[in-house]
Amino acid sequence: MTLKFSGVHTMASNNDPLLPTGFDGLNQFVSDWAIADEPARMRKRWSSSMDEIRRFYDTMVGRVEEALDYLDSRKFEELQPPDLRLLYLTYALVEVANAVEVYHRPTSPYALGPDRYCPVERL
Amino acid sequence: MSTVPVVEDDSYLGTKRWFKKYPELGDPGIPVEPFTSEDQFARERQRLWPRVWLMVGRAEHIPESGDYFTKAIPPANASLIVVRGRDRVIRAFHNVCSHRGSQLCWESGFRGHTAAFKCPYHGFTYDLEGHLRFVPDEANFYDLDKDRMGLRPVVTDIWEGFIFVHLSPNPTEALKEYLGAITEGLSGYPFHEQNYQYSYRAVLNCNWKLLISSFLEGFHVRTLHAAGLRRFCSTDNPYSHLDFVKLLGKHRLLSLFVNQAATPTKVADFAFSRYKKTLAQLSDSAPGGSQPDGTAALGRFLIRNIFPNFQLNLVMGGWYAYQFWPLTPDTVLWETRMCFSKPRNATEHFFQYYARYASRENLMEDGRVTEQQQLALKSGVIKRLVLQDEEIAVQHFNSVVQSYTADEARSQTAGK
Repeated sequence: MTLKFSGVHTMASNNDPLLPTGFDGLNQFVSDWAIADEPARMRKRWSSSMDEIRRFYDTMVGRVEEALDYLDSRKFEELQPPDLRLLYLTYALVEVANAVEVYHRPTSPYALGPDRYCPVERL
Repeated sequence: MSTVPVVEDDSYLGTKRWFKKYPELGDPGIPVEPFTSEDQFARERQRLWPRVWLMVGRAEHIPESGDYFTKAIPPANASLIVVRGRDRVIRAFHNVCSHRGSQLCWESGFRGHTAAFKCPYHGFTYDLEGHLRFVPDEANFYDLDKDRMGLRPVVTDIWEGFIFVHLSPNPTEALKEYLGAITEGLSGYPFHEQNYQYSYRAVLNCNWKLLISSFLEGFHVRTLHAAGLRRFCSTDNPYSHLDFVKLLGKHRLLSLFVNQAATPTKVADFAFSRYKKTLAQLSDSAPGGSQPDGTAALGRFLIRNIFPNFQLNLVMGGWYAYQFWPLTPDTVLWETRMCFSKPRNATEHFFQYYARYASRENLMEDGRVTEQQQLALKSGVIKRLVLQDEEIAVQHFNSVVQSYTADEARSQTAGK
C-alpha cells in the first residue's frame, strides 16, 4: 500500500550522525521535520503552530541552497541516511512555504484536510 | 522534441469575448438540477457512460506480455482487467467469471503480472487473450461450449500511450474520431518518458460535474487561491482572463494566463531557478537529455478537458491527468496523476516535490470549495447558476452532458 512512503528511517543509530558534516546547525529540526513520506509531512504541517513553522522556515530557507549543492554532489541512489534526512528537511521547507509566505497560518483556510486529499502509492 | 499548439492570441484585455463567438450555447447560465438530481444521475448511467471513451491507464505501465492492471468504472458498476497479451496487444475484459459471475481479480487498481487469470471461487482459468482454458470437473457440466465462455471483451484503443475503453460493444465513433481536435499539438509528445508518477486520491462530497466545472475557468483563481494570485493575475489582467478558450466538439482547451513578470514567493523562486539551472547543466552534459517543457515554452498553462471525465495539463517538466468518477449524485472519486521524468538528482526530486506541492495547495482548495457549493446547491435555494463570459467552458461542458442525457437529445448526435 505505501511502498513509496516507507523503508527509510529518520531515526539515527548511535554512531550515525544526524546530518552530513557541516549541517549540525539543523540537527534541532531533524526529529520534527525530517519526514520521509508525504502524508506524514502534510499531517505535521497541519498540526504545527506558526511559531514552530517559522522557527524551522527561518533557519532552513537560509540553508536550502547549500543543502542541495551538497546532495547534488552525490549519486542520488547512494544517498546515506544522514543525506536523506537533509533532503527531507528541504521537502519540509517546501511544505511550510505557503504557510509563512502566503497564508500567515499553517494552511489555507479554504483547503481540504490532509486526510481528504491523499497521496497514494499508485493509480 | 514535440510540437506544442500554435495558438492565435486573443487579447486577455477584452471583456465579453466568448459567448459572442459561440452563440449556439445560448445565454450564459445553467440549471442547478443536473448537479443534485437522482434522475439525472440515472440518465447519465444509462445514456452517457456507455456512449463515451474512457481513459483507464497508461500503456507503459504494462510493458510485458502478462502485465495487467484492474480498473473500477464506478458509474457503470464495472470492473475491468486490462492486460497485454502474448501477442503484445493490450486488451480489456470485464472482471467477471463466465461461470458464476464472480470477480477474478479482487483488488481494484492492482498492477501485476500473470500467466493466466484463475477465478478464486471455483478455479475457471482464462488465458491472457481472454479464452477459457481450464474448467475444473469439466465432465460434470452439461453442453459447456468453452469457445463461447471467454471473458467478456471491452472495446479498447490507445492514443499517445493513454489506454481508452468504450463500454458499448459497437462504439459509433472510433477513438481518434471521438477525440478530434483536442489532440492537436500532442502527436509524439513524450508522455511515456515522463512516467515517474505521483498519485493522489480523494472522495469528495460533490457532484462530478461540479468538480470538473471548477477547473474550467480562471475567474476563481484570484479569490480562492491566494497562493496562485501572483502567478495567474497581473495589473492589466487582474481577473485572470484566459489567453484563449477553444470549444472543440465535446472537448475544450483552455490557456490559463500566466504572469511572466510576477515576483514569485521566496521558496517558489528558489525552486524554479534552481531547477532551470540544473536542467541546463544536465542537458549540456547529456546531449538529448533535455526535458520538454510545455509551460515554459509557451508561457502558458494549457488545460485539455477531454469529455467526459479526463483532464490533461502540460506543466513544467511533466504532465498531470485528473479523472473524475461519479459514485453517487453527490460523491465523486477524484484521481490525480502528476508525472515527470525520472528525477536524476536531489534538485530534480526537490523541484518535483515543489511542483506537486504547489498544485496540491490549489487542488485542495478547489475540492473544498466544491463540497461547500454542493451543500449550498442541495438546499434548493438557487435554481440556476449565473455565469460570466470567462466561464463559457463551464457552460459548454455541461451542455455536452445534456446533449447525451436530455430526453429530446436522445435521437440527435451528441456532443455537437
